[in-house]
Amino acid sequence: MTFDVKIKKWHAVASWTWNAGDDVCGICRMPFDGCPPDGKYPGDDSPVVWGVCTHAFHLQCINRWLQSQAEQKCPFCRRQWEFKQAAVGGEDSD
Amino acid sequence: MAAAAAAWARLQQVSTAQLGSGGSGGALLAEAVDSATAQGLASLVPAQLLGAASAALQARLAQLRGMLAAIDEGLAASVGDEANEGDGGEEQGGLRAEVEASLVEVLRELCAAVESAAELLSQLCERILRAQPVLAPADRAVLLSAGHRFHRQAAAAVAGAQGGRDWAGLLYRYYWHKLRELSRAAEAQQEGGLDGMAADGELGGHGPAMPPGWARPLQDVAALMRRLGLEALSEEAYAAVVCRHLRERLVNHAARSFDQRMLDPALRYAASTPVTFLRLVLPEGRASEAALEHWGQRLSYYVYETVGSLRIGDMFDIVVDYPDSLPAIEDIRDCLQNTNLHRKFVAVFRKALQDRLLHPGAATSDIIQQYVSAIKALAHIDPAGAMLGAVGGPIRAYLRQRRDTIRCVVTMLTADEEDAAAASLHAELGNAEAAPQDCDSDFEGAEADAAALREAERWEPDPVDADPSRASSAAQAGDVISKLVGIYGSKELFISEYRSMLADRLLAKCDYDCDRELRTLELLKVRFGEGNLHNAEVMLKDLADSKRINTNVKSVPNTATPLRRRRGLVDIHGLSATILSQLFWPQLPTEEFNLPPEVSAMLSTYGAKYRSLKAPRKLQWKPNLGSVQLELTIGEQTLEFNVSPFHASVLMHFHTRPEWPAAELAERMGVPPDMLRRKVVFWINQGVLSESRAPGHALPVYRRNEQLQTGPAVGGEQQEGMELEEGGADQEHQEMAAYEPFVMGMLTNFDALPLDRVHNMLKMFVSDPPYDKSLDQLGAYMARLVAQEKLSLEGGQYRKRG
Repeated sequence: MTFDVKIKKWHAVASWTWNAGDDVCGICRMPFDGCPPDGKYPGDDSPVVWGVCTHAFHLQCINRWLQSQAEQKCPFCRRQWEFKQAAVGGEDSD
Repeated sequence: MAAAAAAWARLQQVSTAQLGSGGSGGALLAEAVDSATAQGLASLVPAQLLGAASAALQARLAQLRGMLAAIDEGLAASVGDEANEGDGGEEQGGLRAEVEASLVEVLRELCAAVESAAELLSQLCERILRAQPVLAPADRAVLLSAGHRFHRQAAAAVAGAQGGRDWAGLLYRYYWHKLRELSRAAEAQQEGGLDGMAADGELGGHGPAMPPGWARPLQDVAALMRRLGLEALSEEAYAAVVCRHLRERLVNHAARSFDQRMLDPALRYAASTPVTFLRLVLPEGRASEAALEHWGQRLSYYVYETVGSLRIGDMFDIVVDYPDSLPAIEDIRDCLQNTNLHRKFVAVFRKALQDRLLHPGAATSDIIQQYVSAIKALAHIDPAGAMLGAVGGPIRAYLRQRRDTIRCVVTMLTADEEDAAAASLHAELGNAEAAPQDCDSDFEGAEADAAALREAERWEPDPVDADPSRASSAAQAGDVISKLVGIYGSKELFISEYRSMLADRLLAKCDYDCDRELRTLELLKVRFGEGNLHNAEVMLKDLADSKRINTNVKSVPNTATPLRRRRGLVDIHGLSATILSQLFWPQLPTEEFNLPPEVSAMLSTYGAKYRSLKAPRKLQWKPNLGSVQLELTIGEQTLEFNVSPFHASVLMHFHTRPEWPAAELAERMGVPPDMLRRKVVFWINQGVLSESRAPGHALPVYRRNEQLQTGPAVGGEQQEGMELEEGGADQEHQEMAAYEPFVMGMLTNFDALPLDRVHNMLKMFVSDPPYDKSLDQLGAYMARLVAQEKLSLEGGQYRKRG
């Protein structure tokens, strides 16, 4: 009379996303979840950063932009560019 | 006048009598000739003498004809028919000595008769010439050539009314017989003196030891035939005999074994017994050496041609046996170099392929395997690759029609080592000779130019006999992979198929171990260039990253700071995950359903921990992918299963509740009931669940079994298959949907377009995502748009509706 299901191992599949709202980086027009033109691998090697103005770019892209400019401004809204502290995980529901 | 008439009558009488008796009593005849000459009849004498001698010879021949027929019969009885004397020659007994002796005797007699008559004639003519110094030049010529003319006439007379057919047959049988005796003796000697190596070569000049006096009659027959002026007949006969002997030997001794060279032994043999035989029948002296040399060349050409034909006939099987059949392939190569059998080779091999390979009964992988072997085999035969072009064309054309060709090629390239055939193809990948970036297609760019330049520099003219309909420039025989990839003319299709296979393989893994895939990828990168395989590289990196992340995630304690405020964290010991960079993977099948709460809790715990490590990234689960190992205890039995998450989820619902109405379970899982049933069927077939249908209810009730049932299977497998098919079509349409805006835009601008123009424009302008569909695929998708009333199709032109 026993009917017992025991899960020994569950191998799941997931995909990651930067959760950046907009699909593509405003500078290189490549998807955030992809890599910028000079990046080889997505994810850890092509991080996405937010400014305090809430605009997001690939780190490589915004760095290059900032280096090429005299003033450190967001290429979208022209506000002073400041990196936003990464949201520490766990707060927002997923 | 009367004296003249009397002298003439006397000449007639005496000449008939004397010549008829074998030309012995010359004195009487000389007297008669003298008296005729004295009467001024000198110019008429030779014709009379010639006529008389011929008549005498005819009479003699008529006497001998009976004997000849008897001899012929004797020979025929012992030689047997042409059809059935390949084997069983032993029982037919040897050439009887008396038959041979009487043949020599008859020939000798004939020869003597002819020669003595000719001699007599010449003497008489000379006599006339001496007696009549003043004669018209024409008459002189007639007198001088009387002996020769008689010889010619005699030869024609001996050959007989049928132009020598009887003789040819008789001689053929006789020579055949002698040659067989000789070759048997040679074989016996070779077997006797078992240090075979030496014996093989030694036969060349000396021949086997035959019984004393064996060669004499043969030499006599040949010499007598020469003396009779019938050399042509004789030569025809012994040439036919030698060729037939060689061919039979080749067919009997060497055919059907592909793992040994056939050509060299055959050439050696041709230089031994047949040459020994020819040495006997050819005239002796210096001329004979030249003739023998000529014959040697003739025989070796004959060997090349025969061996070539035999091997070519077996080419299909030779290719099947490749590489064990390498010796046979080398035979063919040498034969083709020395003959002009190329055209025959191409025709025969093509025919064999058509008949034996390119039909619906052959599995695609077999065809590919055979094609691969053919490529390699032909590379040995014809390094320029022209023949491969001619032979491989039909195979390629045929493979293009098969839907699973690419999949097969990719499977064979990337398969595990267990499969021997696949392993050979996989090994081929590592073949360093292959020129990277060089497939058999017309892709463009600087690489192609460079490749073309390299190609031009090592250009060599095609063999004369190559099929001119195919240029050999692109054909590099031996580079198997580019040939296979080139079947479809582009590497893009191949790479995309590789990606989807790689995705399947990687998703099926639970242990993140992909060393072999990495190795394959490295090899493919060498061949196709890194850029083309970037996606695949990211996919493999995902697996490696997943492994690391998985360890990290599990080492985060549930009480870690950023997680403190989360509720419902559970133990994720039994969970592992593959985390994908979705953009770099091919379209994966999606199927939404609700996981059981305990699994959801595990996944969200895992997700939260991932987020704590990798913020601001987060995970999106793909519930239908992955695999589950579970242990089911039912009754007394404990069973292990490795199933998909959906199947596992279904079963878990029965853990707590013994029965579920289909509708309720479907709702709980968030899927339509028919899809649920497709999955439940698996468990029903396993005997774990059962299905019952209450009257009046459309949907069944599923119930767990208390004991494992081994009932008849419900038609589940098939449905799973159909499900896959449907899934495939859906997925394809989803992929095509990316192009819908382009199609719509085009039809806005152009009003109406036929299918092929839409196809070409998509190909030209759409690069993101790159348009890699076939005309058929586009057609199917357009038909769908028409069915959705987004487009209309009139007279082959698509138009936008509205």
